[in-house]
Amino acid sequence: MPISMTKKQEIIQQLLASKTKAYQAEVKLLLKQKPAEANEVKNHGKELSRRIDNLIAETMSDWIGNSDKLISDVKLINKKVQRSINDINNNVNIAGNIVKLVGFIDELVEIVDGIT
Amino acid sequence: MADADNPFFISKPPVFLKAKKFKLGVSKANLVWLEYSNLLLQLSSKELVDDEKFSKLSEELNNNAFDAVQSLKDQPSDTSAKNTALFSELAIGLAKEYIRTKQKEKLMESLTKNQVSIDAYVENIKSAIVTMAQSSTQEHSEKQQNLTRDLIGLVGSNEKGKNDVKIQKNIGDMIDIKTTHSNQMESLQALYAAYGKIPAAHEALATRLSKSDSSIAAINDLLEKGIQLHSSYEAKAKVNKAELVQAKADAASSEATTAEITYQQAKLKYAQAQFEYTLSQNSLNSDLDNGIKKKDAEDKKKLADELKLEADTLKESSEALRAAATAIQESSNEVKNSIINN
Repeated sequence: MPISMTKKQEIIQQLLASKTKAYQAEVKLLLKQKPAEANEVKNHGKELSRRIDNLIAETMSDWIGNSDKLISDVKLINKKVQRSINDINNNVNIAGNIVKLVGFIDELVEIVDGIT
Repeated sequence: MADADNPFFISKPPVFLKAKKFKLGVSKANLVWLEYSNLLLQLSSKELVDDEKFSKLSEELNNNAFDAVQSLKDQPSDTSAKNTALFSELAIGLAKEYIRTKQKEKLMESLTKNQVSIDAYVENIKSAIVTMAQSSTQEHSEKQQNLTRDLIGLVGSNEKGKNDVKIQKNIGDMIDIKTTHSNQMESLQALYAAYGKIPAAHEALATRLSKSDSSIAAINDLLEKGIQLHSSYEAKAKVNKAELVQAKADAASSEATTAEITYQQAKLKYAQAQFEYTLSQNSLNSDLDNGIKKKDAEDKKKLADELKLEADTLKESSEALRAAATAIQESSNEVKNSIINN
């Protein structure tokens, strides 16, 4: 399944991969009893993580901006579809009114029949 | 101006606050789509041009037309009765066919016209899902790394080996985080795939409609699946979604109540007009040659008839709105149940 991403999302994806590598390196250093080096990698990794957080927040803001317009568009479409449904219902009502009209004509015929 | 010198400076809101707004946006987008597919379902529904309604109309028309023929002829023959019935059935059949054709045309028109917007909508939702997945990975990798650091610290300082309670708990937490993350990724991927199918399914509907009287239940199934999957994403989002879905049902119910009140008011107006007309007619009966009274009675009858028609229309629309509100409430209950069950 092809996944489409915006430029920002592609960057985030790459940064997430880099952060994972940084975290793996930190663990290896800790296991090798090199806490000072591990700490340095950790600090850089944390900075990278903060940047990723900011980028994700930006992506969310972008999305909220775009989606407001799209949600309004679909709401407008919904109004139009509702109007179509009302038109159809109205047509059914007209058919019903024709029957009522025939009923009135019938009453008139009966009245005429009674007079003549 | 530097941040420190700006009296109105506020630090950036934490990501989780932005995420909350973002999830609410996704919920709103889902709801608007739910409404769209419900409207499409209504527009494609056979109940919109109900067969039962038409057979009742046909029956009424038959009775009326037959009575009319009978009153004109002293001895109505079977043939005239049959001819009358044939005529009325033909008329009703044509009316039904006309409305059905209109229904189909409007549905196809909606599907074709809305395709571009639906494509854009789906791309937008898919993009939101990618962001959700990235945000989930970011959050879980942080938790995972903290636990790994703790674990290394514990392993270095422990004396009981793998039997150390703290180590066991730490490993258990790591497994939990990995499981949660993997479940979320699975759900989001399925959601992404489900949404991905919507544009083609939407487009295929118009093609299928031109061939047969098909239903759009499939597209609704896709949507329901999407909502269920999304609702499993996070408890916070669940609460927002349940609230939003209920708000939608409440709004529909309130609209139906307003329509019912309007109908009752119209019915009252009609009853009053009918009463006025009866009084005028009584007055005319005792003075048949009085032109002013005759005109007055005619005017009042006309007004009463108009008000009756208006009340009948309002009755139908209030009943339709109530039925829709009940359906929305039921659908909202289903969505809420699926949220609880997931």
